[in-house]
Amino acid sequence: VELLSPRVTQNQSDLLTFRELNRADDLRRYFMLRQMVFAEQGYWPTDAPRVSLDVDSFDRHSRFIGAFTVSGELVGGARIILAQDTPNAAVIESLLQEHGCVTPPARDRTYHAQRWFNFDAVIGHVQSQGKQVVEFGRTVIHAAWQNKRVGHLLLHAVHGLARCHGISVGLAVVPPRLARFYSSAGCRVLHRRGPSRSPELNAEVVPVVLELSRLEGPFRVALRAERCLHLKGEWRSSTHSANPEESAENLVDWAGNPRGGHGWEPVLSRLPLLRSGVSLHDETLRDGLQSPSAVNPPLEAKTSLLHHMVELGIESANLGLPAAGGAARKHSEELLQYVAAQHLPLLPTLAGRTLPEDVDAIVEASQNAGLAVEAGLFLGCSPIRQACEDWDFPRLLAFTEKAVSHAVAQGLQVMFVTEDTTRTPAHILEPLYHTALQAGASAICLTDTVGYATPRGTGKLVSHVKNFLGQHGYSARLDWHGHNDRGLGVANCLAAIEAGVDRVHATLGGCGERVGNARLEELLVHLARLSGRPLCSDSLEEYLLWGRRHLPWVPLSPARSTPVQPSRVAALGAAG
Amino acid sequence: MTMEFFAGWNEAPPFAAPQIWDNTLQCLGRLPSRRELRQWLELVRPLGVTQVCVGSVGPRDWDTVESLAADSPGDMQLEFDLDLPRSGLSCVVQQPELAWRVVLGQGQCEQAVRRLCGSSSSTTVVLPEAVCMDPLELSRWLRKVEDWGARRIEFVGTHGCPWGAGVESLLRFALGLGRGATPPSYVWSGVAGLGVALAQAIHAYEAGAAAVRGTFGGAGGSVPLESLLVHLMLEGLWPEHSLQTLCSVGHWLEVELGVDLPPNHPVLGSDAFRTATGVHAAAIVKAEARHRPDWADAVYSAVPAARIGRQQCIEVGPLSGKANVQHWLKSQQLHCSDELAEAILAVAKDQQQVLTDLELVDIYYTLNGAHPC
Repeated sequence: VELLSPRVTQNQSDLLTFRELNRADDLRRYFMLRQMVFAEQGYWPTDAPRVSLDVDSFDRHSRFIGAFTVSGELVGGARIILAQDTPNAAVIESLLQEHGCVTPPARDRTYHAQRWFNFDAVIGHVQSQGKQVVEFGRTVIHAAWQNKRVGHLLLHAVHGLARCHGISVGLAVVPPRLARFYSSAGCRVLHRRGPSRSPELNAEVVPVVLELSRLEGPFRVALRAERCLHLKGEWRSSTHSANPEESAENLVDWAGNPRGGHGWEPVLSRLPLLRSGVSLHDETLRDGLQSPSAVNPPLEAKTSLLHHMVELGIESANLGLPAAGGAARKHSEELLQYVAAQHLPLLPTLAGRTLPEDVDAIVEASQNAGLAVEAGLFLGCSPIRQACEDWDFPRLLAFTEKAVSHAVAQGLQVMFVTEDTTRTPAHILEPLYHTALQAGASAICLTDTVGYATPRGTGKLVSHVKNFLGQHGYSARLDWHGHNDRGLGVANCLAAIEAGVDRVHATLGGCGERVGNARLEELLVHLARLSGRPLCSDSLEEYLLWGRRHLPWVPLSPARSTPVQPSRVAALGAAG
Repeated sequence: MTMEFFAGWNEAPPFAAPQIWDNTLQCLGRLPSRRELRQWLELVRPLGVTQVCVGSVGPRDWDTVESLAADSPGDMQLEFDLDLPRSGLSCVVQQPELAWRVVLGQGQCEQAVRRLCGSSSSTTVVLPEAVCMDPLELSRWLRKVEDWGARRIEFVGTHGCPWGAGVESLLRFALGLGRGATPPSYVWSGVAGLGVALAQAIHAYEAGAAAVRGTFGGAGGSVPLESLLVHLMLEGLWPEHSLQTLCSVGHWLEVELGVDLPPNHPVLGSDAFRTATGVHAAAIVKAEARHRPDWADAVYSAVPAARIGRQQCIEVGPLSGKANVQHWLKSQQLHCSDELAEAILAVAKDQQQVLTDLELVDIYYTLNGAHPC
């Protein structure tokens, strides 16, 4: 049987329509497609009997089955197992008889995935909250439609279908090669469940759990699918993928060919618009990865980002928080060694609390790499933090003095970072700065830790601290580190530069704690436009493309953001 | 209640709060249904929005306009975009209670604009290229439009240009040209780009703009109104309105308009109040232990989540501390020994991302055999 008519070509891809299957003919074509795709991909053991339909005992409990069609032809589908009998039982029985297939034996477990893995704790936890769990599986796409974004759309569609039926949590087992894709798209590969193999399928699988109420990143398209299925009973979508270069092109265009704004900056505002000579500090690999949506990129990806930073002319970068331990420590040490080995013209910074053990972790990393680093030692000092922690001010001064002296004695350059500076009054800041600078700190970092500052407030704070440093004869560098909670991250950076800071911190795409930091790419464009800082469009484009690959949840263009889809998802072939 | 903790770096002169004009429904790409309009008005009315732009009208839309106008609430004004040569003016004259918006430079003739301004004092005339004009050219245009009878003139920011000082200069210059007893008022309509749309809007109202136009969620690339409202609230300029429905507005945007709000979108994004960092979580947990939910909501958040219908959320990930694990266990009503909490934290430290509740449940029950409570 021809599943895909030759007349259906890629040019007609706009006609993709997803709906729930309940007619005998649709179900027959879906079961045949499954059989064909699984056979092509070598999932069936060589001694498995040759049949024309793939129907197993769990299809009796596949409460919902949905598929995409193009011009009436089925191109991909998936099943959703719910612990209830299927409404299609009679149709399935008749199909089995019609094709001479053996009726599958009754199920031994509620879900297919339970043949491989013990999901009892997860299922019990979800059901105890009165929620339903389903298993997604048998997700197949016709060979002619693989690698055409249909895989993504099918996942959105089945998630939307499940949400449409009030389902909260989905399980699946998928080939290990797809685990990273699922992981980056909001699903989670369950901890400590390595790949498993079943005699039934010639493939290894890993368990995945998807919380449908918390769809993120690209999977939020499922919300649209849900709405359309709810209102119209079907979801139409295009396979035309968004141009992955689009955002980068927009930004590069703004950098190279700024539109508008010619009238009111030079004519009525003061000149020059922004001071030149301000350096940039990239926090992507430390604060950026503190984003709750972040997936820690592999070390090779992080090293390639360092090269992009260098090409963009970024002067310094934070390589991590070694005292956090685990993978964070390992990566920060290895990155530092990489900078040393490659002689990258990038001033490396490592972060730590104002505690001796954090300083020691930085010292050890620095010594192992044989490279001098700057230690960014931070101290929570705002009145509200002091109240929560029941700290008194002498204790803060003692912490500062001890940690900074210790770090300087160990040969580190110290940037003293007062957390939440923008909510901290001058009478707290000034004694702390005196203490840190007299203990040997060479830089002060003003932080808007919670994104509270306005551009006016930023300017006032920076001016005040700048005057304080000048009045007391300190020659310390002054940094600004801002967050974007009020949507003012970039504007505050510009205000800080205008008020006199020497270095501003930002991250790629603005990723970071909560809603993140100032966007570095936007800052670069502003600096190119307003202060004449050189900006290479190609380097900016490469930098943004790195973000598209490794920070897929971050919209990189503020005007036309399109979450990045991984470039390639081959046969989804979820085995459940 | 927590304001006494905060230093006054942000303090500003007592500016007048602007009117908030909302263009979100234009993202539908069509006129909304009566149901959609009613739902939206119910959501944005409590926020203090004063004018809602319903959409663009063509010559065949007048019946729809009439039916939508029937739902016009007394305390908010409905506005429609007009393309004068296509739309015709006869029906406009019959609907003086509605507001109209017309963009110059789209083939609008002087007579039509004069008649429109004469028929409705709530007509806004948009000068789309104002930020690119030199002062002489701008002054000529402003005098011309004022002579045509325009009482509301709108400037549109373009792709992040100009920056704050430029916006202030532009508006102060325009306001200085006003003639007569009732000079026209100015509206600022920001366009997202290069991260300064909100800052531009703030500069605009501080410089004297009477209204700021934008969209919720920054949909369509405008000033994100939710952030502007939060800013006004934090500056004490929005005391009479509750922002509790902001959360529902975000949900409506995603479900009804299909707007993709990225997780890191300020105020409305899913990550706006999530943290898995040990230092942050520890402070929040300690504030909760002191029975000070207001401190917990403010110690690591500029925007008090409770005031916009949301709540702080502590999670567990590779940068977490023991406080995160203990908080999560408590929230799940799971008992745990110190050894087990340490063991869960050790597993979390080796992960590449923040763990979900279900992953933690799985880890908890896996490890519980080794460290029974």
